[in-house]
Amino acid sequence: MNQETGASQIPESIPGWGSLEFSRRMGLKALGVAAAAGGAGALSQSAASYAASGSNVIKIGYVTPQTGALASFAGPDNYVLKLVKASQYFAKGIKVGATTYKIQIIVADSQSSPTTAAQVTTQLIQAQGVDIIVTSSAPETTVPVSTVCEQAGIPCVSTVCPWEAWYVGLGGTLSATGAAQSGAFKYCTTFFFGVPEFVNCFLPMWNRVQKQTHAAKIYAGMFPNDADGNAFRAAFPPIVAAETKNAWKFIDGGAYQDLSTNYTSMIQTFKSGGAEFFVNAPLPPDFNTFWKQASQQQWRPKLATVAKVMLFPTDVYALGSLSNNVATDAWWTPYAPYKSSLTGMTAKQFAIGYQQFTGQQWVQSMGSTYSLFEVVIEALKKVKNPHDRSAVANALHHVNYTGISGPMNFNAKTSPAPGVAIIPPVGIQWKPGSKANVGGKVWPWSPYVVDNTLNKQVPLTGVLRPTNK
Amino acid sequence: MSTRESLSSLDVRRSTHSPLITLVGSVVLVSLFSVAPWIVPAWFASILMNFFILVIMATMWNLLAGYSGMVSIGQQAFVGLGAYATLFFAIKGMSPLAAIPLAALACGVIALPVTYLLFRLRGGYFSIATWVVADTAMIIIGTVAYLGGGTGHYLPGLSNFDPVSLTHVQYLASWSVALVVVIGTYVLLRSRLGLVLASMRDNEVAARSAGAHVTSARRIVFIVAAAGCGAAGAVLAISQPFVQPGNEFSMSWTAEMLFASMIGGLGTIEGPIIGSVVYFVLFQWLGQYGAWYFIVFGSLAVGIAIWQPRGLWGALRDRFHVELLPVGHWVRERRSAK
Repeated sequence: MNQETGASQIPESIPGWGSLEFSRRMGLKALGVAAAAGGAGALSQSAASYAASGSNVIKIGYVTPQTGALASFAGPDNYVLKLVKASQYFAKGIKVGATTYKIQIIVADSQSSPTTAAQVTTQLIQAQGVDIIVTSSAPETTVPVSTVCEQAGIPCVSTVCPWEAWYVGLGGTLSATGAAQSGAFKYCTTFFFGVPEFVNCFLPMWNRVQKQTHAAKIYAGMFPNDADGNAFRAAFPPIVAAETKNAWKFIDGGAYQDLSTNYTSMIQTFKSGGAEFFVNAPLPPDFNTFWKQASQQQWRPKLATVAKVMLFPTDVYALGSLSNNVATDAWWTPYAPYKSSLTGMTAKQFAIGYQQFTGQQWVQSMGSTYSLFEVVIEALKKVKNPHDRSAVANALHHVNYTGISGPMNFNAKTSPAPGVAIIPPVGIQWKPGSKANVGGKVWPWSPYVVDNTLNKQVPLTGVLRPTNK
Repeated sequence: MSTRESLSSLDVRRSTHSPLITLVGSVVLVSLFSVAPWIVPAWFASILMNFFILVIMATMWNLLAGYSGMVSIGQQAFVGLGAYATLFFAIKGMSPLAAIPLAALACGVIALPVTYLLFRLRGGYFSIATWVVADTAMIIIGTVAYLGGGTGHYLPGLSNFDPVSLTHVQYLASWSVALVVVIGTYVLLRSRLGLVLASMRDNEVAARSAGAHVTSARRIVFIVAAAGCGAAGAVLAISQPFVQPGNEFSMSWTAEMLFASMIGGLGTIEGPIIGSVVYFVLFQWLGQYGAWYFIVFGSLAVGIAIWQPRGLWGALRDRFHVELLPVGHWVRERRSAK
């Protein structure tokens, strides 16, 4: 246990994983999220009456942040939905038992607000009578949506949210090291990864750069005083310490306020502590400010591995040359040898199609969004009545297939909690674009797979380099 | 005596119509809203609940800005403190519902010393200082590990309700607090203090020269508004029920209060309520058009400020000469005196 963090400070359970990350510019806030969620309990009866009806249409609700602070996650929505709707089950219907059911997808915008997410979910259930709900993008979306679904008894699949946040948000509890302690959810499932995967994605990259540069094994943590920041502060250093037998020393930059504009004292702490590696979990604009100030103040870590930021090309373009060789995680890339379970389309074709359709560089959330619908089809293949909520929920908990996001098993022995499928991320670095990349078009900055420790099936496309020499 | 004759020829009344209409209307509305969660769909009850929280906040903001000329842009300080007071009492083992009046009281008590700091400043300086107070409160609360720090804390004490009755309890909490706040404001404005406030609203210098204790009236209003916003914060915490500094102390609460009061009409009781209705209708309607609602809200606020500074209710009242909740007096010439 690293003395910098102090074992006694680690809480029994990690508080706030279930909390929602609020930024000040989200407009109408989380006002009554759980209230709306609680309200859904009243809907379970009406939902059940829908279940009894023998409609031969299966309605899938998709809750996504198409506008607001999280809108970049939903960028690929239109393209993904177009492909999904054109695939055979969605275009021609799916045969369940003796009946062929048509599948209808109803999209609802969460406006990046937890309140709205809960409200539109309630409306999808009550007004539209959806059978299944799928949702994506950050705890602000997936937690309120899942809470409503669990209380209303509607099967739900979510993604792009650390599983711990989803788990605690639904009422589960975690141990000090972040393992699931108690809680199992009947209707809700999720596929993504958690803090241990962040550690195991970043640590191999630190080790490799450390060998190249012989830098000190000291890493700096920029963790804000908010739900994600405090969760990383609580779990990341202990896992690193346990896995490396205290070989790495942690320097905490302090629990700063979100949207701070001056990081001088934090940068001084990192400099005077001799930190050579960097990990964080900030709001995207805060990383932008911090990274510029760090450069101006001559703090240049040998390797920066960032979480929650630099996921999308637009964030990276905004930082310009300061993005060079900044590393982060990728849960989906076009380089993986995976195929759509709906159509057999390869990951590469999927990305090239996106770039042609939108004129923009591929983004990693396209894979996870697509898989939401693959998972639903996998579950529907296993039930006798698609309107039977319990049966569909149970089938979702046992989905085990390989699709565009690779192998996924919701009932694996290695699953951290019931109904959670882990898709291991790979390490990527942002570097100037190249013709050799997918699609052959040169973008200002592109992600290169530089470390595949967690998923050897994804080939390397670039060489891991220090962020700063 | 000519004076007495002219006085006796004047008719002074409060209502523009029979008070019975107001009374019966109020009773009907109150009963309807009290049973609403059992008759309207669950999602609509949750919208109504949020609506009442806004009504509470806008009514309080209107007392400050509309009557006493104190344009506070830091009222979220008391929303946040109210939420955290509720959390504190709930962690101590009290029912969050019982903590609502205590949270309001705590905010009132905190507001008293704050007035001695703020009342040294005027106009824009006052406004900025209220903001500083709010951010300071947020940063201090964010360092208290007992209350969850920056991560926030789950509000305990509500787990013994099943999901359906929890919704009802949350709705009734926000509805009853809104009712108390609106009735309280009505009573306050019809009191002697209300007279002072009305004179301050119309002309502060004249009020002062006529012997009104403007500063102490201001102080009372600031404390009342703090307590009211504290109650709103308490209800907010119960409705979530998760308390997190960045959300409870969010500037957007003040933006919403300001919008609802301005659109509805400052310096009237009805204005903030009508403004809240407009806000929620627009929000529901424009929600599907993404970021457009910000643009529409902003343009509407600017338009109203320029062309209809008395707000929607001001325009209606001037046109139709109606008062739903009369706090002033109407003076008319008595026809029968001739």
